[in-house]
Amino acid sequence: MSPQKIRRATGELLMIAFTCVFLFPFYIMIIFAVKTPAQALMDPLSFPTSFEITNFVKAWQMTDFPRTLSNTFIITVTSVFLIVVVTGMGTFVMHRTRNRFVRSLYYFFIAGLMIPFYLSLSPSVKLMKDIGFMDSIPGICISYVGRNIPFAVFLFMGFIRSVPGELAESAVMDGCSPYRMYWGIYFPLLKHVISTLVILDTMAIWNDFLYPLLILQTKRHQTLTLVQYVFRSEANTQWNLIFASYLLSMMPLLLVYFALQKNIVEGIAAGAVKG
Amino acid sequence: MRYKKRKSISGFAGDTIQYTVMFLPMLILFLVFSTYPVIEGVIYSFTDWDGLNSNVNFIGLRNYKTFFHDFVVLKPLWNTFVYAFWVTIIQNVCALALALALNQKFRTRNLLRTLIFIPVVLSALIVGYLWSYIFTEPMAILGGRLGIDVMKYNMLGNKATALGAGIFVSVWKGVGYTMVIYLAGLQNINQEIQDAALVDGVKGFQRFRYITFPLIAPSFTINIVLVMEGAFKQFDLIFALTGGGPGNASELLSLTIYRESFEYYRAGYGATMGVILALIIIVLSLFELLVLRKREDNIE
Repeated sequence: MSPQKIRRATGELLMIAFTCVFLFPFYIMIIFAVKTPAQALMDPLSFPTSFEITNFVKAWQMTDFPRTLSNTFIITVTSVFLIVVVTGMGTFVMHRTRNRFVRSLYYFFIAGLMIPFYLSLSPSVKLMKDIGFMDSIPGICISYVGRNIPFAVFLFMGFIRSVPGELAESAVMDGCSPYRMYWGIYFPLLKHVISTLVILDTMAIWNDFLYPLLILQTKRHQTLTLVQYVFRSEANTQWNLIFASYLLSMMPLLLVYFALQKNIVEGIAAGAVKG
Repeated sequence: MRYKKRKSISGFAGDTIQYTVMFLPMLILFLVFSTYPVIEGVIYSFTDWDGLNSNVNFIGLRNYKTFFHDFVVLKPLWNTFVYAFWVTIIQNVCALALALALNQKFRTRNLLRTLIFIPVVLSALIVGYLWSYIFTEPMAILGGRLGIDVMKYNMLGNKATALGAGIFVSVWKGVGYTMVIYLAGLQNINQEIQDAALVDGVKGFQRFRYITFPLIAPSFTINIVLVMEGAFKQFDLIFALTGGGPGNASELLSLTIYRESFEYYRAGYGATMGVILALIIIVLSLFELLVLRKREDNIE
């Protein structure tokens, strides 16, 4: 072997070793999740001698997994779908219209990117109470759309501007209405930006904690992340149950990640570089 | 593609109606759920609102004056800066190193990239809880075996190390995201330039400093801004990891705002801190964009 090859092989081994250390928390989580309670307390770091499937069954029941999963799923899918539809059309209008005021609203929307949610914490809760959206799943979806518009506008505008103008002009000549122009010509060209947006907003909304904590108060409306907060005090120090429930709640998004891994990574990179 | 000719009321007026219908949902949702609460937040920052009653008194600048004398709050403000500064630096350095390493022709590189990205997909709350356990037991045991004094005790319970542990966990969670963006930047580098540099005998650090780094400057800019903004807005992870403790040794301003608003019922004061946090983020973002974009231009 040439010295270069040896160096590369050493480098690769070092990176593999690093990644193993990097994933150490998952090792801890998995060995705990399959231990008996006694083993988890007495001998935390040892390799498990048994496989306690009952941990997962208990965690499943105690966190009401099917319901929390379906809540999270419904909230995420509805919100992300509406964000894409509403913001795509709106940004298109800001780009196409001759109305100067509407065009300049772009800056008004993206200014929202810099405002942290903490500025409007109590007023947001008050607003949700006032309009009867407290503890309501449709309510939280609609408010998620409103709160996620700035980033979506920012992403959409970057790509809509790069659509060649001649395409639009020839459509106008054909007597194509704005609505058809957007859905027929622009929308199919925006596939990449939409997948970036869907990935980022899905991760953000699926994993969100603070907003559901403030808005969704009854147990039957809880999301996967929110239920972990409650479960932690319920399960006290039963680490085997706690870690089993963490694994359960991570699974859905992890499976999606492994299935669509290449698209997700490309989508994120594309979004950042364009921005 | 053929489109049916419209029979509608001629051109312009019809277009305007359609434009309006397509634009209004976005405008209304944004005004109601983003703009309105923010304006209200700014207004409440001048009041003694408790967050529950509609009984509100204007107290002028008193909240703002209190803020700069409030030791309970100045510590989290300082922590927020320390946390954001170190997360931004460490996460970018680590991510760049990982990206450079995994940009080589390793056979396992795709697998390793995939694995290092995993924490990005997880919820920050669960990551915080997971690490809070790891610091209490496994790390302490490991520290004992390795004979590292600081690690022998729970680092989250130590005022000197709690915030540092928070920075460490944040980098662990976020480094994959930053790495992916650097990798995309590295892949855009023309192989010819790299080869030419190799022929000219430019090697190692020299090559990185004068060839690679200038070419990935756009990724560098965006990563600095993204990581820093994320750090200033962090809540879930520290909330789960240390809850701000011990005392307020690792408390970030976002946690203080949450506590003031919903535990101590001083929503007006909470809003004041929100305004100050927003101003900090706005000033820093604009400053960074200006400075870093200028750097990029100079390099080009």
